[in-house]
Amino acid sequence: MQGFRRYVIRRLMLLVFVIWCILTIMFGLFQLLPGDPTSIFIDSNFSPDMIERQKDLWGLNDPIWLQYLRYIRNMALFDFGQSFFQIAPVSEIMADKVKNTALMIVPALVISIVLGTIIGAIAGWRRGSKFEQSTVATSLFLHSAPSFFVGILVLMVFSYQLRWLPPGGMVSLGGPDGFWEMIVARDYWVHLILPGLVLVSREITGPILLLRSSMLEVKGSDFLDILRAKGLPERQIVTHATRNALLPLVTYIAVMTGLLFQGQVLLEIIFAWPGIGRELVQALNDLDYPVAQAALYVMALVTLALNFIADLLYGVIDPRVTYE
Amino acid sequence: MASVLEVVDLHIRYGTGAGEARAVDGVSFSIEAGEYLGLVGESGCGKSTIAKAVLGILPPNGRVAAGEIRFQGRDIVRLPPAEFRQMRWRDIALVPQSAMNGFDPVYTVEQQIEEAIVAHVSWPAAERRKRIEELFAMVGLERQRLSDYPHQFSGGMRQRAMIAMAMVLDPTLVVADEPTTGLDVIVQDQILQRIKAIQEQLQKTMLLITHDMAVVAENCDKIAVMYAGRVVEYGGKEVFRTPHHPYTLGLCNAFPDLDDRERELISIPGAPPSLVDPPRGCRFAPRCPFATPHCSDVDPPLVEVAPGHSAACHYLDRAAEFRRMSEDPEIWRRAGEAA
Repeated sequence: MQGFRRYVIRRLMLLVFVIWCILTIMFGLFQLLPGDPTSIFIDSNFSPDMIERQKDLWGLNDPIWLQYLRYIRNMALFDFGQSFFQIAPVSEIMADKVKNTALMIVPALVISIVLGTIIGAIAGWRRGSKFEQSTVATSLFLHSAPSFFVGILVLMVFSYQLRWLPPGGMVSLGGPDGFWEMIVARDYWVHLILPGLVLVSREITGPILLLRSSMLEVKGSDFLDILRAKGLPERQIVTHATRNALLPLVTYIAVMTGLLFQGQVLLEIIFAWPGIGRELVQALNDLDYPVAQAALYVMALVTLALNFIADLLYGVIDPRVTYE
Repeated sequence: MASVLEVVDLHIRYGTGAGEARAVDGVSFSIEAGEYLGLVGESGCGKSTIAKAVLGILPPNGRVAAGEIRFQGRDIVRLPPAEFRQMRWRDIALVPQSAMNGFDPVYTVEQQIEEAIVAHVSWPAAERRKRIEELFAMVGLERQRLSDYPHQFSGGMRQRAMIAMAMVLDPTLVVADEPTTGLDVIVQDQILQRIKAIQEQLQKTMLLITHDMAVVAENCDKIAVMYAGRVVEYGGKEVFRTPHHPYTLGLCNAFPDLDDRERELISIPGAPPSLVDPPRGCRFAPRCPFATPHCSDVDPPLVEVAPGHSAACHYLDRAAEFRRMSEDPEIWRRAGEAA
């Protein structure tokens, strides 16, 4: 257990270092952006004197190292400042957008992982069967279908033609707002169906294909023969095999979730879902630096945190992993 | 009373890309209660395939094409799968070739032994635990190690745990398929002695599969020598004392004898024939130093040379002469050049 603690500490230190690197790169990038906040934010009719005063107020006239230190401190404290265009602190906006994105992604993720694992395991176990062949073909097809196209297609069919489902948004106008109210509201789930379906159709293919191939690998193991010789029922043997085949999935899920958190720009736009991806694009268009900066930072943090959890989890599910 | 295991004219085939391989081609032998039979032969002669068939774990491309495997008089090849499944481990257990990978790496050793019990009998947890501890003691493992994962065991410990697992339901027949593969010589010896001790103590009926003549000579009551899917010589200890088949002679020469260090080890030149398209006549003829044209034409049947001892060679009457000649390495070398 001591080895484990040391491992966690080392891993945490690395995490902090990586976050620092990301922050520094971001700082540099935003320095390179054309213009400065004053030119966007401030009316051109302001006198030079007023502009100077504003710059002083924001600390833009301070030496760069001071600006950098202040920036690092604020980021570490999740103090992202004020949006240029929305009358709200950026941290509040971020919390809201992260929640919204999670509301779209998490249900789709859970379904994709659970269902994908089961389908992939069965496909791998029954190698050469009709089921396996059709699963692989379907998965490859879904995996390569571009989500913006599929998204527009399902919108056309189910929303505009059949009028079964709402065309976008998280809830109807005047619908529930808070996290828990939404979870229990039928309205939210109805809005989730289309984007959720598009997401699942793409994300489920990963676990399916991964588990199928890792199952094929496990199938050659000698211990399966022993389990069979022990006279265990088939179901139990498949469980053993699946448990072994699951190991690579843990890392995959972490990476996949991280990517999902930042990659849903297109779906969020198509389905008018007020998530973090859409917010980032909007902020970049508006040159709303504080929001863009915070969105990038939050996405990076989510990805890093998930990878960190995956690393720890690996030791839990695979007894062969030690931290010595 | 019926034999514990009786294999009658067994044919096993594997579907391969090049056609059907006749891995086992008309093999018969039997093991009586309390007997220890050794099945010897080179890699690929079909001996492990027989073990797999006895346990019902042939790979998907393998099938029993003909013949019977009778366990206590019942043909297990044609048993309904559910019934056969119940018999496995409870009646017929396995000490596998691959102790290294024989355990599932993500379950503890105890869990894996326990699930074998649970699959067949409904003992309460305390009794299961007691039985497992008892067996661990029998094979000389500490009970604290029960909650370990397989990778925390050394190769020898893993094989001992395998033996404990095989014995857990007190099976009638134990099949040991090359149980010492991948272990160093000292551990090999310990494992074999352990198996032998258990066999004698518990009066187990055992089938040992190995390529090592010396191991069989030391442990077994009965020997079946296999070559290219067939039994070429079969009998009691006299198979070593007075071997009749040239292949058995070759095998005996190929293993060192501690009592006679001066003796030169002689290997049998050449390689076993293809099982997809086996040669006509005697399958050993192409490598046999005593083969005649007749040998590669007509397949010799298994003939009794003494009560309970049989061999498959056209020239059994010249066995004594062959035995003497086979001690000369030159004879084998010439056979190798001819082939």
